[in-house]
Amino acid sequence: MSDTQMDPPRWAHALLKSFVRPSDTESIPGDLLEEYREVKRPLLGRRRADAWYVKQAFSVLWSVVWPCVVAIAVLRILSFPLPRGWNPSLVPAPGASLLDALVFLWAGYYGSQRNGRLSTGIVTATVTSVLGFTTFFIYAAITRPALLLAPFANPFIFVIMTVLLAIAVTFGIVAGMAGAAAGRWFPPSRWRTRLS
Amino acid sequence: MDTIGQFEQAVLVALVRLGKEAYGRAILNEVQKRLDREVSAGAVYATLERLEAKGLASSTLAPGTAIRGGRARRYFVPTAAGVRALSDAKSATVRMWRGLARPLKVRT
Repeated sequence: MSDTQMDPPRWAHALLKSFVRPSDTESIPGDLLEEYREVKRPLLGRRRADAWYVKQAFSVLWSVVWPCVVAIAVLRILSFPLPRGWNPSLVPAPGASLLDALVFLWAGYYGSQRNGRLSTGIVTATVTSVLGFTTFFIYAAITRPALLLAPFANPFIFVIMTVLLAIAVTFGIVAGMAGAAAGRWFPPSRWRTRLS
Repeated sequence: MDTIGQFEQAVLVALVRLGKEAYGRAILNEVQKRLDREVSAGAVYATLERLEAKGLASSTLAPGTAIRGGRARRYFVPTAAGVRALSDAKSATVRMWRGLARPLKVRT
């Protein structure tokens, strides 16, 4: 197999491309592809070279989504001690409240106006919803360790958790789409022009 | 005056060292070599973007090679403000260490 036939995982390549600025869609994937083909693949073999590429793609993703993840994690941690009902929720599930919606809207807006693509905004909001949901369970497991073992005693809890995750992710995608559309078609400069 | 962080310094120094060969992949490898640790591509590209936004570096696109599927390379150079910021950072470090003998002795 020649060097130019060695390709990293397609999904990682697509993910990487959706998170770089339009002006970098050639240079950044090209840099990583060059390193992958010239050094990593011959040196590490396919599996480890693929793992290296995926790690780099996620590092680029993280450099975009981290403010949204920090925002949702802080929201989760601050909201736990507050009494129920202060943050109304569409459905009785974590990750579907009014404040969650605002964070997902902002994540979608931020992602799409940063890179000028709807897909970046939607993926940013989706990643934010998944990690926000994870934060909820980490916090719950720390405060009530028995919760960690509960699914093993009653495997149906895994099904419930999957449904709750699906609700949170769907909510993140829908709110993210709205935010991304706003970011794509109404960049900050247009808001400023309208307000002035 | 622009103040720069340690990682920004490492990236700017890499641009100075690499000269005309300073493109993404080479910068990533140079920073890893000098810091003697693994560095993520995301951290380096985010820093390059920030340096450009601050006016401390500028970039131009050049044609790519076959091994990178013909994708363009983005070459970076430090601007005059970038070189000044780097010199200021170096001077600040030298001033901070002046009068201290190395290696430092630990008092027990």
